[in-house]
Amino acid sequence: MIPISPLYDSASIRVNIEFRPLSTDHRSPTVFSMNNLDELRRRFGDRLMTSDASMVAFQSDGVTALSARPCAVVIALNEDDVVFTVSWCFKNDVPWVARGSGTSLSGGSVPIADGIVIAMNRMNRMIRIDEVNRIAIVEPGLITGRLIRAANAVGLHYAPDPSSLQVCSIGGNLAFNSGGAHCLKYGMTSNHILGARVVLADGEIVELGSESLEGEGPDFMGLFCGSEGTMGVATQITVRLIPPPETYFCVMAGYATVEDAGNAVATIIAAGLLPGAMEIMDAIAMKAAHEAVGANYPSGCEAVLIVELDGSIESVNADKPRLEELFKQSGAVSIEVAKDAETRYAIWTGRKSVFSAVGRISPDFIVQDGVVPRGKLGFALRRITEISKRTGIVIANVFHAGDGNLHPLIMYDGRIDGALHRAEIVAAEIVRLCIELGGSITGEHGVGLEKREFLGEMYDEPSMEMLGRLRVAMDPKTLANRGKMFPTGEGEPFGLYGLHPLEKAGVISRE
Amino acid sequence: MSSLVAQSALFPRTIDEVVQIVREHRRIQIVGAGSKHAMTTSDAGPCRCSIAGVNGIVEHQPSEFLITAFAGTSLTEMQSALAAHGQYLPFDPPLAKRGATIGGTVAAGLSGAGRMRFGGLRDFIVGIKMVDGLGNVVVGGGRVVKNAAGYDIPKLMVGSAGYYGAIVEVTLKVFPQPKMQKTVSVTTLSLASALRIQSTLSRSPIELAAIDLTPEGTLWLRMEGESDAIETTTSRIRSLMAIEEERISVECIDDGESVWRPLDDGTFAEGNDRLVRVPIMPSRLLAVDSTLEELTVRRRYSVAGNVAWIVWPESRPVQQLDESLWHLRLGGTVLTGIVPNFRIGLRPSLSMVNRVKAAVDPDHRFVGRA
Repeated sequence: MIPISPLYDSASIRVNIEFRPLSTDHRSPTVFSMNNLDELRRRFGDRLMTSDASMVAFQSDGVTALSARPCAVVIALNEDDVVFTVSWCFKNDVPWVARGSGTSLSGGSVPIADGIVIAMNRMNRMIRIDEVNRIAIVEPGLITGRLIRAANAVGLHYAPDPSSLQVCSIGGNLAFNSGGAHCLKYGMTSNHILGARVVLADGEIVELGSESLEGEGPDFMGLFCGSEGTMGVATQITVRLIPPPETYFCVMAGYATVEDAGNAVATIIAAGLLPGAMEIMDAIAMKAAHEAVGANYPSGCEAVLIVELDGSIESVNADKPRLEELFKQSGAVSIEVAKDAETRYAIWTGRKSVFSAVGRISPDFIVQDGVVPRGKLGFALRRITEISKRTGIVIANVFHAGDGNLHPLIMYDGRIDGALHRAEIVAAEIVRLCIELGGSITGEHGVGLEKREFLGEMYDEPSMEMLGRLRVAMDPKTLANRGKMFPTGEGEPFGLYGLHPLEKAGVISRE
Repeated sequence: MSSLVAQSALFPRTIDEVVQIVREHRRIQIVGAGSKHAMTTSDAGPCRCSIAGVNGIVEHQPSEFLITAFAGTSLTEMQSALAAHGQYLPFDPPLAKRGATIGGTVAAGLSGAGRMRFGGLRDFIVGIKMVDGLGNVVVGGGRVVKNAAGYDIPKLMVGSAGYYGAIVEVTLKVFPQPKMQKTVSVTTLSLASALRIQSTLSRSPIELAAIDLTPEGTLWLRMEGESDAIETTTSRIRSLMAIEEERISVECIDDGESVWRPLDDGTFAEGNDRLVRVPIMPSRLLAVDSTLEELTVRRRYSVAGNVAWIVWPESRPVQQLDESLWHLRLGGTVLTGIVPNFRIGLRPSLSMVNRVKAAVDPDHRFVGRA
């Protein structure tokens, strides 16, 4: 158990994480008087939900192995609703989490047990697209895919493309600094957020950033972006729009081994090309995608590398021959160029289907998103293969190779006692491998609940303490998304995912 | 106050020495090489500590497209180390030729005209090491291009003006250096028509590295890339211009340097005149320009109408510009010259400034303002 400094958490923290299925009669003692809840009920009426049935809908997020039961859910329709709820929580010492679509892949939007969930998904207006300044002003509940389509409709583009963009919300993207396939050239969500109105955890409204591409003073918008809901909640967001690429050149190359593909990425980057995206899929991922969406991959290859150039016709044309030459140099066994939009779409459909496709071949899986230096990709992949062989746990690999951003999908069957626990040990080993190679524990999913034990392994004590002090500066009572990002409080018997069945039965203990 | 600028400063050579200075002094003004001295002319008479001596490149692995340097490293040193491997800093940091350091550039939050294409300093900084107000060495971010672990401390320090701590080391993402660059000048009849053309260009798929505007209505367009691609882009620009109704002329400038150099070396403002940077929006540019026209100041607009660079003469009190910006609801930074407060017009959120200060420098060792 990592010792915790009182600076960034309080002894009163309780994060109850349970295994599925959640027993319906479970109810921890509430941390505040139910009379106070009447205050919320009077304001919100039907928009305050407390029934068991509605709580179940909010108890989990994209990491389905984690769940906790909130005390109530408030459906916010506007900033006043948010300020009222946050202030009420502050007054009554009730932890809360703001939730968009609930697609977090780090357990970042799992409720705090007996806390409040502020559902932001009804605050989903596209306030305006400003074509002159090339910005859009939106509410946080807006679905990212809708923002992209609205921008495309006026001949502009919103670059970040997390794989969940058809369902995830822009507010969640901001909170977790979401990534996607195109970060290599275009950056992550925080590179596309110019400003926001934010309700801090003590109820104060602050305006961060501006509508200009350039800022003045400390980059508070940059600080807030990716703060995982631990400082406050955005109620209005200004994003940057760019002209869409004029053309694409998408190539899928087959390699004999995953390591060869990893090394090819380093070769292409070192040659000075700047592709829009570079993605690798290994054999298991290819098999899953083939079975799920019929995607076809070259035979005899353990990995494919997808590289996409984008930009103006003249710049893409200039880079095409260089890229093809580099594929040959790096030992590609096969090269398939997407001749038309349909082929390109098919390549991407295969790539983007992997997560759901793996869901067809394994009942459950854990996905990690650690980052390693690009030059160490081949090495990291070999180590992951060794781990898989040693433990007998099947791991599929798809990843944003251009950024060194791994996505091992660690498969397990949650119905088998102890399987999850074994999978999480493998996950932990891969996370630590990333730290050991000088990388990061998370490239784009955030720390959330899932990786909070590892943040303190990546940063030393003074650095963790400063993060803790910053948190308290924005959230003096550590109520906002309590228990996320920062290591667990004392005495909590939870690991990465939950209790080992023997722990649950009281047979063993980790302390 | 001018004596303070010349006042001798402590000159640590290592991070440990910076730590020692921070621990031993109650009030400290952090400075760099002094290229933006308006930002460090604190009148509180504290100990001045220059980070310029903590310099040198810590790590540059060309294949990783990352560079880590001590904060006192000059931009020119970084640029030549990168150029040796065909790489560059795509955010085009200004005042390099005035000796600006990377730490000072981060503290001032400065990006140049070339930030238009791939983003600004904030988009390229991935890691930082700093000494906080408790005298601790704190690390933020990392040495990988993508990282979502913990709060984004590197970004927080962009524009922090030495108020939140002494930046001692910076890690930046870099990009492959374009083979060639070429500048085209488009002369139009007025600022309004130049703006219309800018709007067309900045929404087109044509990839421009920089678009700057003069108040007289001239556009300077910089292209970067392979020579064939640049030629094609030039003819695309010409054909786009041909359909414009306004009488305009397009000519290639052989010496693009003459266009971009004044901001690189700071000669845009000469002598003790103040160089002022004001982030704006393209839609407000005409309104901003008419105010500046009334004030009769030299100016140019950069990053496709997102930044105004203003020269405010030494002879005139800066309060006049301060008030004008305030009325426009814009904030700016005075970089050079002597001023009572380098932040003018609309100030950064005081609540946020103070909250962060309480967290990173609770004893207010670092003087100045954010």
